[in-house]
Amino acid sequence: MKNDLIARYIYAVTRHLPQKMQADVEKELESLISDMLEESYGAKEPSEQEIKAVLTELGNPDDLAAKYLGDEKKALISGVYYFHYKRILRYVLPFITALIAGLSILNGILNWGTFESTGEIVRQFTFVPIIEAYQAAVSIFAGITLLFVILERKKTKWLEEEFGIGNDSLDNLPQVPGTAEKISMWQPIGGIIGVVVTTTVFLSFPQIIAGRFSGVGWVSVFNVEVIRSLWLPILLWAAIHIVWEVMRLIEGRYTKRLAVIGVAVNVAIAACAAFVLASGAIMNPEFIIQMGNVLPPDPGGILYLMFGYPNLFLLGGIVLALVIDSISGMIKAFRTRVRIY
Amino acid sequence: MGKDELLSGFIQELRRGTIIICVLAKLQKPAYGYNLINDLAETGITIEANTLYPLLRRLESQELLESSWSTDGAKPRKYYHTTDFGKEILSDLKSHWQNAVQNMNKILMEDDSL
Repeated sequence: MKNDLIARYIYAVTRHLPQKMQADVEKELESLISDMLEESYGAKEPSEQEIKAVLTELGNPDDLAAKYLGDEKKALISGVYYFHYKRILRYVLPFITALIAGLSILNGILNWGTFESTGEIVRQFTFVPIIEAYQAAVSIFAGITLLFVILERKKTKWLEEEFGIGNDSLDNLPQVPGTAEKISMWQPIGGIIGVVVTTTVFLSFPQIIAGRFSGVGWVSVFNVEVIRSLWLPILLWAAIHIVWEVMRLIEGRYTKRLAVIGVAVNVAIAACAAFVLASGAIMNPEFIIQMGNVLPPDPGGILYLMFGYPNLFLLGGIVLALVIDSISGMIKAFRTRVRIY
Repeated sequence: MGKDELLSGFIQELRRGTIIICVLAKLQKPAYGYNLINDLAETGITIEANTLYPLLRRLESQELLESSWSTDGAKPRKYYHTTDFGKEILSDLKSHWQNAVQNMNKILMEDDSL
């Protein structure tokens, strides 16, 4: 229990540090705590109270982590929040900017036949991708900045209690995760990129999701006008998902509370997905007709569902993925082991 | 804000400005972090471990200090020492410090004579 307390304190400090620093700082803090205990209480085995006294002298783990990061000054976003904020921007912004520019060019290629002048073509393949990429980058930057400003300013009680940020009293220190229980930073970052890409394509270029039919050409799967009218639930879906991935990134490990919140988040996402996909109006009638022409006369079972009701098939797939994700999160959280020093 | 609190804040700011010179000077002879805290305390400079350790790391990233782990003793310890570049910076800082002290003393002597 006593060594567990030291291990948990050190983990609480190092979990927010860059990976290349973690092992060295861990070793340094072990050595320091040992020296402080020896000087104050002699070479004997220290009691839990004595360990707590030394750890209290060292101070709040998040404050110590912020000093190691060099970000202890108060700013719009500071400390460990700033560390995670920079990390998300570093990977998400360039990727999304390049992707939006690429999608804009692709959109131009798909609409090649509609251009009426050379000037329009030049504009479509130069200014339009640059402007759309810039707008997307500014929106994403503003959204992520606002999210982190709110997270830090509010420092909401549930965030502190659930994730131990800013409230690492010695009784609330996080458990040291085993290797299997850590969440690699690439998972949530990949998740954020995936959500932004999907949302952007769905709202800005829904016509890109298309099927090609012989004699007809490309036909959009979705009804573009209906998709665009559903911008609010789609953005809400994306926002919930992005906040969830940020929580996972900051927490960095599978915990029971994270698993329970994950279930609630997945229920909310499923509700948004149902709102968007439940109605057949979201499908392009022309696509439905063309699919009907290529289907065998009496398609059975899954083929019938897939091509007859593609929106419900997609909704079913999303709900299944969310259920699997919830169960997986629960399993990983409830088998968390504690590493003892 | 009471007088003691105000004074304590000013003293802290004074110390903050001098701790780097003290660390660079003391680490011309290799030492580990906790040893340095005690060494500085003996000369009247108090610094907390949660301030010194991150500072040592920052000075190392600025190439003013170098570190290495020693496993010779009962437990592994990270020893820091001032680099040649750190000694150059220390020498310049010492000159600035001595000038600043001279000028400060002039001002304070004027104040005493009023």
